[in-house]
Amino acid sequence: MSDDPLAPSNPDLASFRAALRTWLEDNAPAALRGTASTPFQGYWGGRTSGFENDAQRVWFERCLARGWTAPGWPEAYGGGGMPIGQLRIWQEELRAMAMPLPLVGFGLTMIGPIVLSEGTEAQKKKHLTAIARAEVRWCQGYSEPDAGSDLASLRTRAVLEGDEWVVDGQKIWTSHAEKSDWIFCLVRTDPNVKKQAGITFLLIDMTSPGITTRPIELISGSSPFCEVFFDSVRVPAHQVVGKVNDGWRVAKALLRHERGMVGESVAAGGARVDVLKPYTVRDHAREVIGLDSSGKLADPLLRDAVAASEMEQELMRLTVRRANDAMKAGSQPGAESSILKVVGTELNQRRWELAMRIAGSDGLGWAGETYSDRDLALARQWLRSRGNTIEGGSSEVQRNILARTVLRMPK
Amino acid sequence: MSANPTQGARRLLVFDEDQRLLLDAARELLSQEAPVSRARALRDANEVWDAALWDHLVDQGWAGLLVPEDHDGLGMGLPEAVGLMEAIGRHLAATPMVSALMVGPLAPSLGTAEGRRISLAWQEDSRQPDPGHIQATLADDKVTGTKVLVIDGTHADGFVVSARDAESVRLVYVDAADARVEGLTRIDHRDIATVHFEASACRPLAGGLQELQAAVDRGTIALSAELLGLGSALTNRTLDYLRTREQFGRPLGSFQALQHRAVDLFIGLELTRSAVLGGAFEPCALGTALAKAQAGEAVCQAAREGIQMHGGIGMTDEHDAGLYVKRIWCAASLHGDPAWHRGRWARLRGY
Repeated sequence: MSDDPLAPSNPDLASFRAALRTWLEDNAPAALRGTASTPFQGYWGGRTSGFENDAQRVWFERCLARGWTAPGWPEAYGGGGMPIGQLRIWQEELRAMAMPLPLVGFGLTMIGPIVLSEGTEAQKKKHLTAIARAEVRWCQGYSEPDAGSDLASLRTRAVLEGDEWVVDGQKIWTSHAEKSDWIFCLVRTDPNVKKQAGITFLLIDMTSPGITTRPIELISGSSPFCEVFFDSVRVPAHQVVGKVNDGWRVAKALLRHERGMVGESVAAGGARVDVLKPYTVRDHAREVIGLDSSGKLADPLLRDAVAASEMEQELMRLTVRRANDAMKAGSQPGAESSILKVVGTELNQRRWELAMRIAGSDGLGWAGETYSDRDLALARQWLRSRGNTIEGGSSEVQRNILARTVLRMPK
Repeated sequence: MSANPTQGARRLLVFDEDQRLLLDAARELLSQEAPVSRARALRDANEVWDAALWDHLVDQGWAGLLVPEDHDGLGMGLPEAVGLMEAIGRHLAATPMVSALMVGPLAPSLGTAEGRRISLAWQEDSRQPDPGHIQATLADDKVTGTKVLVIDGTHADGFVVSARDAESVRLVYVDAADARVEGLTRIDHRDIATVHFEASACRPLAGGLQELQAAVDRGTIALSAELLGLGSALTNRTLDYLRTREQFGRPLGSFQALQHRAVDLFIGLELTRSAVLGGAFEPCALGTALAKAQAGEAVCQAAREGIQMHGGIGMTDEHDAGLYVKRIWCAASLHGDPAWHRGRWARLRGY
């Protein structure tokens, strides 16, 4: 079928796009169209996470048959083999229909790309295929109780015994650890050198004896975060990615990825609570505060604040677009991309704080029928947003990095 | 919510190769003919504009950047205009370019492309930069009224004036000889005038309120781009100073408190660049309000920090920071300050 216009070998992007549109028209379940919101919404895969509904299953299976759960990965590892031009069209067409991705998660976005660039052939065969087929869900084991912003000071220890690493220690802030099948970890393999030089990047099966997880409750209530404890966990030596003691370099490549994602996803709305999906500060303010006879919000200070909030969201959107467009035009994204994490998270906090201000005392409810579902969700959304400037690299660390690397400020 | 009226086929928010080459030529001209020392010399000589530089810009076609080609212009668009205005801001160049960008496409037959300096006389209340707010009257081919904050008004050859007749908003041309021009001496020594029309002879031009609003918005985007250039150039100096100035045996820029403030300046300018490009590549009312509000906020902060981070030397007249700060403060106010544009945004968004 070399003349299949959807084949990766088809160099004609126009015919690819036309064929893809037809394929989507025939195969994208109607129930999912128009429902995409954040890059983390959809089917996560793995042993414990089922499909939310039948449409999600159908969409996943149809894409899987073509390798389109991981469209840009090589076909040999379960991907679709799409060259970059086709991949962009795939993304554009999905966006145009607001279709969620057929598969989401840290396997596809974080560990997959790292295994692809750093892994052995055996690792690629085993892990990439399992990710693309949604057989394995991954979580990230980086932070520790004493290693937050100063990640390189991590202490979870791995000691080589024969052809196995023996791992002891604790990870924290591990998203979805209890639902994940594998974890990629940074572990200390040499305590006697500069802290960055003694770290190794290790892949660990979460069903290994000696691993326990405990959920973390946040000020906003339940959360996807967990603690993960390692008690003499035995890990085959071939599950190291890259070289032993070269894990910091591998991790840095991955962290850059994560920071971009956090900033973009919170700025894209970040409202994970369904009742808040259509929430906008404008509509909220119009409803609660009301308009005066000249059509202005009755509270002039709030009017100014609502406009400022909408405008900074638009600034973020334009800046994300500028960074993406620079890549589309064939150049590296400029300095603008480096600010997205700080800007996206801080404006998100201001937005939820403004929402609280609009709600007044109605926004301060924790539970009970006195409060509307929206107001209850809003309070928790605001509380949760306080963490945005901590997770994925605190705003303070981000500013340190920007000052050094972009503004070339001296030591 | 989106300030983008054309969701379908959208352009990339980056300059293409042709645009980059064109703007390189502008930057080269300004580097040669408009060093910042020239802005200082003009101020010291009580000159509000740079006639020699304008001649160069006219020779190279820049005066007609937005004028259609059939009127001897370059027929380009706002993206090229904001690139040019940013460069003009960086150099503190005193040219009637904002007026040329406003009037060029509005009344191409008036000769902007050939270098005639035509100013747009539209605003009547200094606190109300709304082109629809017009009390000037047009009757029997005579226009009467007072226009304030007329950019490049002192040395204009003539004016495009907005006025009302019995039916609607009209645009007319008035020769400078038929107007009474009161030049203002402002902190930045930019050419700004109050212009009185007292039954001034005029001739009608095409267009009404809609065309006027578009012209004013072009000027607003141009001023936003100029602010971006002013803020970028001043901040570059500020950052250089942080890198090299030593106190307590260390470079100032090694102090984290200053590093984080420097990053915030950088963020503000990057967001401003996004807004200016957005407003230029996809012109619309919301995008214009966004650009002017953001440029005003971020660049005024660059002005404040430009003095503070330089310390005492930044307060001296001898240092260039003050020249930038004064120009910034005036440009941030012209065509509406950030609060006014937030109000405009809110009105456009229905609250």
